[in-house]
Amino acid sequence: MAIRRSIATRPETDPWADVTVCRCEDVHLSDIERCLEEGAVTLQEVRLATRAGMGPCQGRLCRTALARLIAETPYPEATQATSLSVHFPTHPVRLRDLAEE
Amino acid sequence: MNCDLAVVGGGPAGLAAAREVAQRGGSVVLFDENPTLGGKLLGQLHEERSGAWWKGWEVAARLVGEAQSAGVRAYTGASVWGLEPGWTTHVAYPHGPASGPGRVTAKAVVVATGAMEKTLPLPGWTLPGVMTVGAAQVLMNVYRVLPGLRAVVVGIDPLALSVARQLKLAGAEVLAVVPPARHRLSTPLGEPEHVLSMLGAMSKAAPNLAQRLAGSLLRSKAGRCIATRTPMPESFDVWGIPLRLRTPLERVEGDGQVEAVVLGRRGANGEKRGPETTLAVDVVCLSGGLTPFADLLAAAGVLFTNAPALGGAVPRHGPAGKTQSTGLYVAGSAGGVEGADVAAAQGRAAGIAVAMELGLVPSSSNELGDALRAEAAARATAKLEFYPGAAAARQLLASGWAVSG
Amino acid sequence: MRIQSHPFVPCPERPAVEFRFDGTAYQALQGESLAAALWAVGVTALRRSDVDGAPRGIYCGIGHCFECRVHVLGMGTVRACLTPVTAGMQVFSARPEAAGAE
Repeated sequence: MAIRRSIATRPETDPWADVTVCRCEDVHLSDIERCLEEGAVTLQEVRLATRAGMGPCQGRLCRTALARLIAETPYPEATQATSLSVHFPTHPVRLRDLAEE
Repeated sequence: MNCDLAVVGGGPAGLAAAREVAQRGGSVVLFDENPTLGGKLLGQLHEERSGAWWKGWEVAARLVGEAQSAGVRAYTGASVWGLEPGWTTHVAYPHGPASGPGRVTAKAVVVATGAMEKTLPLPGWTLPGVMTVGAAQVLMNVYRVLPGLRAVVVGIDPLALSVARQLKLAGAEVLAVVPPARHRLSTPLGEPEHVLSMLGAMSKAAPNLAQRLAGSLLRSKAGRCIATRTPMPESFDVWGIPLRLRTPLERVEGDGQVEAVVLGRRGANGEKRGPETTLAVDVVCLSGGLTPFADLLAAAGVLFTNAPALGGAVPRHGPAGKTQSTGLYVAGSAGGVEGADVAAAQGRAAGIAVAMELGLVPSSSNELGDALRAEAAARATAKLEFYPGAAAARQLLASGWAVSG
Repeated sequence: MRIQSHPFVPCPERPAVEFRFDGTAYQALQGESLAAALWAVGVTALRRSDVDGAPRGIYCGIGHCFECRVHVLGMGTVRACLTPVTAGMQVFSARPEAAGAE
């Protein structure tokens, strides 16, 4: 039986839970931690799930904090597979080659 | 528009690189987002060991004059948003009428976009009145506007101390310089060992602090191990500024803007002890540390390595700022955070390297060697050290480059 | 407020100009940043968060964070810390059509 380790903070007791991590999109620490607990392992997944890093500053402010949070998250016991958000093309392709398809 | 060199960033590194190529006959354009050239020099102010005061804006004026006399065409209010191999630079002018070209094709590009501040997220940090130490510096020294009457500075590091001193000069009361509360969002800045190591780094700029701290002891890892077994000192007054090491910032409070800070209380070994204190303030200046700002290089595919002593993720480059892409160079803090003198020396070296690539300097010339030696000398005599260990980090990066290129 | 006296920072030699923020007229020094001009007159909130309506103002001061974004008639959304103030400039904390201005 897989045991999921909870690393999310509890908003009703922790003043840090509401701390804004992404100022552009108003994403709080608790939003990020929930996303990590649900299995996100890459910056890209956190970005897509929470919008953190997708605002006008393009992650300039939050990328260091996000990287720290991801790095310090113990991998939750896997209960489902996650995609690693690798997209085509997996190698750089010239536009003219794409156009010729 | 076509030219030999496009420079992104008009701070000391960019201006020096532009000048070197223009002086040797190359056609150079330079773009800076700000309304005035000079980069962060414009706001910098500190006391030298001699007791004289060094004003960054005077250095900026000299560098700008040299670049312009050499024939560099500089455009302000210019945001470079794209860089394509070839090299095509895409420019926008969002803050006023377009004052320059929207697209330039250059044989070489020097990216000298400087550094950005790392954040210190903590409860209440989004309130108006919470700003970075850099923002406070710009308000005071570029625009002569007072950030606040009662200030607290958060972060124990050379820049925080420098800005705290500038706040005093500007007429603010600096109630305390404190570390942030320990939390994974700001780690390691709230950790006692980190605080002690930064005190060691700051002792270079504040000699009286060194005397009281046996600063050279703290600059060695062995010394720090000894120091962490002894209690964290409670406080120091440096230049009349209270450094309070055992009352970290827990949160900022206010209705619509900053009104107060709440400080925790730590015992000698970092443990929570005693009640919190509330201080009425109208500005909170955060110092999360600087890290290279090199988004253009990242988007252009340059790889980065982690170098904590240079601020974090650093674009991989070799001597004179050459990146793996032909014709693409980095100079200044964008390639690793150090002070203005090192940045100018790096810009000079990059400019000479570009000039050699363009055939404007004979390959037999000693100029590049001289410029690289001057960069090392600037590093050795740097007045403001941001992080301990920059020289060692440079060695490591250089050996990595020598191996893999 | 503006710094009354400083041992090192020279007094700016800029002519006084008038500009408006959300309809209120203020004095500024021509060419200084909008962020500095507004901070000098005590305006600390430049906009409201789209998500929770909380006031936001200057944070990084150097054009990186976009926290100081305001709307200038004729220019669109700009960063107040990088935009030089000009005489008659009309600045808004929210898009003019939302604020009811023309």
